[in-house]
Amino acid sequence: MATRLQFENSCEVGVFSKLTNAYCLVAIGGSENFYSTFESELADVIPVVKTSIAGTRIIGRLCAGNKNGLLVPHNTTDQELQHLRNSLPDHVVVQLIEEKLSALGNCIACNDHVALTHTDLDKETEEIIADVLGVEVFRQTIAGNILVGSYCAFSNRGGLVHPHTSIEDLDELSTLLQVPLVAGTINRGSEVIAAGMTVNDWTAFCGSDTTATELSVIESVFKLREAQPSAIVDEMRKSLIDTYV
Amino acid sequence: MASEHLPSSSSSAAATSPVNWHRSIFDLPVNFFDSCRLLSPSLTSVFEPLSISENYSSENPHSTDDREEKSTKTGVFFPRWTCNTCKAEFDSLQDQRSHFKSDIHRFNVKLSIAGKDIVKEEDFDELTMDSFKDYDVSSISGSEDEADKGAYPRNDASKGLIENIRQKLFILLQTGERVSVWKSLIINDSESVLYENDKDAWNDNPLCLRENEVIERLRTLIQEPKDSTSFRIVLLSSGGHFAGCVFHGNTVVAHKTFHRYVVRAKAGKKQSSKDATGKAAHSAGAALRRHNELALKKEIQELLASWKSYFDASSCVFIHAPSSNRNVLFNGDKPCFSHQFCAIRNVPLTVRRPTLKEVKRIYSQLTQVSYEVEEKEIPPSTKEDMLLSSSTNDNGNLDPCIEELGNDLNCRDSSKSPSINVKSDTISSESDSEVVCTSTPLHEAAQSGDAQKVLELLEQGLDPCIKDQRGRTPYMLANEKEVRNTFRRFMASNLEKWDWNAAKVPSALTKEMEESQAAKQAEKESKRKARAKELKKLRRAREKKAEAEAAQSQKTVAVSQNQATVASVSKGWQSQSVGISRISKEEELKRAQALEREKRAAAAERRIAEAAAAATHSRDAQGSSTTVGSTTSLQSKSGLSGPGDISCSCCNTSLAGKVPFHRYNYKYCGTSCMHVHREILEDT
Repeated sequence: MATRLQFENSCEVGVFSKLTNAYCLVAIGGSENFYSTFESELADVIPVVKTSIAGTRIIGRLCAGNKNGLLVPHNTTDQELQHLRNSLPDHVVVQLIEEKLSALGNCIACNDHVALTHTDLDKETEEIIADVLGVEVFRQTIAGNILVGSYCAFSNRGGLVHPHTSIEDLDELSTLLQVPLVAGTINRGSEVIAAGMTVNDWTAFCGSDTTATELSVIESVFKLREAQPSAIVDEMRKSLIDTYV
Repeated sequence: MASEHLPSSSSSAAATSPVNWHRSIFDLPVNFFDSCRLLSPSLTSVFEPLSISENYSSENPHSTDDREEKSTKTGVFFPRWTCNTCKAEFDSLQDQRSHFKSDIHRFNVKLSIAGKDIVKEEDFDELTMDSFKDYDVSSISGSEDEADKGAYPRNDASKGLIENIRQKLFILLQTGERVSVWKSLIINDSESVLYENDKDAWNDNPLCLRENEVIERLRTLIQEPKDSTSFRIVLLSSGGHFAGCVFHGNTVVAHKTFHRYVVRAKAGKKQSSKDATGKAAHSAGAALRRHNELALKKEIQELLASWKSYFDASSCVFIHAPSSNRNVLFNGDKPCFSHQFCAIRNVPLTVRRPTLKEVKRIYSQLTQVSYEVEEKEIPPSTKEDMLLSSSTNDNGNLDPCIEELGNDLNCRDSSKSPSINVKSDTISSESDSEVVCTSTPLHEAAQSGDAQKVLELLEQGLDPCIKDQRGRTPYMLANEKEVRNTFRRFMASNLEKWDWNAAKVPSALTKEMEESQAAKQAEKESKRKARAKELKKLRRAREKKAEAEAAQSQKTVAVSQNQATVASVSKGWQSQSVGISRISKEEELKRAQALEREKRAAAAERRIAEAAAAATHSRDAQGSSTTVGSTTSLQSKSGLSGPGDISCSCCNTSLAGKVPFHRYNYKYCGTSCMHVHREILEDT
């Protein structure tokens, strides 16, 4: 299910958090409310890590990751890197990227299989993305916007892209990414999709300005209504069968 | 598209347009830019790439509209595997995905974001090829290029294209062709061109050139009298290399290049820029580089001073001097090129290491007029066409030379024919040069070494003079002798049919020649066989000899203790030494002898065994000392070496070939023997 929340009176929750299928990063903030919302939703399944990146709270825009790995910009401090390595599951590779475009979250949009990237990223960066995140990397734009990471959000089940994306581009992107896509908005008409929400395969967090219509679009395209974390299903099946017998 | 309705002008276009679509601006006819239009860069080459990719025939007069329709259709109706940015369709998801990872896609995305037109794959290849071919470092010195170029060749190529679009002028000629020239050839850096579509925005800027001004400049450029002294100077300076060249038209008037070791090896950058960071090195190399920088600067400034007259007469100076190199050119005691009419412009191209060759390349690039994408005029291929076109050329034609002819009605008929001749000549030469660049089945057959196929194709009448893309005739491709011979045989039988010189076939191969060759070959073969036989014989003989020697050595070991065997062996030795020379002829005999020797050796061994047994008996009986025993046995042995032989008085070994020690009348083999014998003598 999609949850609506705020980060210190800001609706751009995608800026202050990073949600993947294996972990969730949350910015260190004044209010505990933001963190506890994530914690209540996710804590049983994946670790929720409070961190800053490069001393800032806009962690969602600075880092990019999926269940396989996390890419952080070159200005990440050693302490932060160490903290992330300690907090994240062992199978998640944390990799620092030497790249002049340091807002990796704005430049890279990815799920567990494919990634769209900014066209100006280095060839080396592209290779690192492919290796660390285990994805196929495509250089593309979303409705003429070069910041693919900002203007689209997609999981393994579906995706939401910039509202001005043409039908042709939508078809092209969905064949490319192999997930159904919808053009839409977030936070009552904001077109900066990834800034307003953060999503994984079974849950989404949207800014509190998001309207019911937007929310229903999100829930349907990301298939969140029937979704539940596969880990829960796997773990619980055993106990269910136990009690059943 | 006007040209299609005017056959005469299209033919003149075909005649003037060179094969490679580039020509120097100084070679253009005076009326080249007559009634031309300036195109804004965003308008250029929108539809042409599409027409090429879709194999759309340009004969259709309404082709542009149709193409437009088609391109939009493809977008809407076939959304399966497409790239909307690159306007491309793919057969499979695999293709699509690999396209999205390709450089051309990336490049096109960048272009489209920048509001430019995309490039097609073919053009992209050409572009990258173009910017890297004829790369040649004519300076052999080992200094590295400046870090700001050459480090990212891939980016350079892509940057280059965007730059190209921005820094070129696109001109629609009266013939309907599009040509482009570099802006900097005629326009100063501070000036800009006013295009039709953004007229209102730039109306009041004094530095904006209107279309007619630009075209006027172009026309003055090509009408420039050839004997006037108007120079163009190109100065390149980077990484310790300097190259300067003064051009007049297309000719080099003066040139000079310098090179000094100033760039820090491996670390890159000049020594001065390293020093500027605050950490001045005090190594010998650093001092050397500092000195060299100063020396280079001095040399350049002296050169510029000596070129003062050229600068005064030059119309513009093209400069490529990145970063600190600029100081060298501008920072002299007195400014060298401050002439008011001489404009200083930057080189808009990617510049490699400054050498004379590079300067020439830059200049030829800057002054060339390149034909933009190719609306393929159908070049009139036959003389009939030509006749037609020239007979219909009286209705409002634009070709001035025919116009002139048309003016003079009296001599029209007489003068028309030479003009047609001239034209047909140019066209035939062009069609020749066009034909030159194709690979034929004959090429393939020759390359694959299929002599039969080659012969068939030649008999079918395929031209062996045709060159492929790399200028090789089929004969040059043939790497098997049989195929080459096929060509030569065919040449012998059809000497008149083709220009065999052009086909690069060296000489004909007639029947007689082949026969004589075969005879020679046979003779050689028989000789070779004979020699091989002889060699074989010799080898066998040698083997025999080796065998015999082995047997011999065995025997000498066996014989060394017995005189009888020794005698037989020495005899064998003699017979052997005699036999060696004859050995090859009497193998049978030798084998028999060997057998016999074997028998004798066996017998000898038996005798030795008996003798040894007897000797031990007698020795036991005598009870004599070992030394004495040995001497007796040795004595008995020495007896057989012949009475005339000199032997050691003590140990009785033969002194043949040795220098003996003399004491009294005795001779010894060595001092030890002498001492022993003396003691024996004293004892007795």
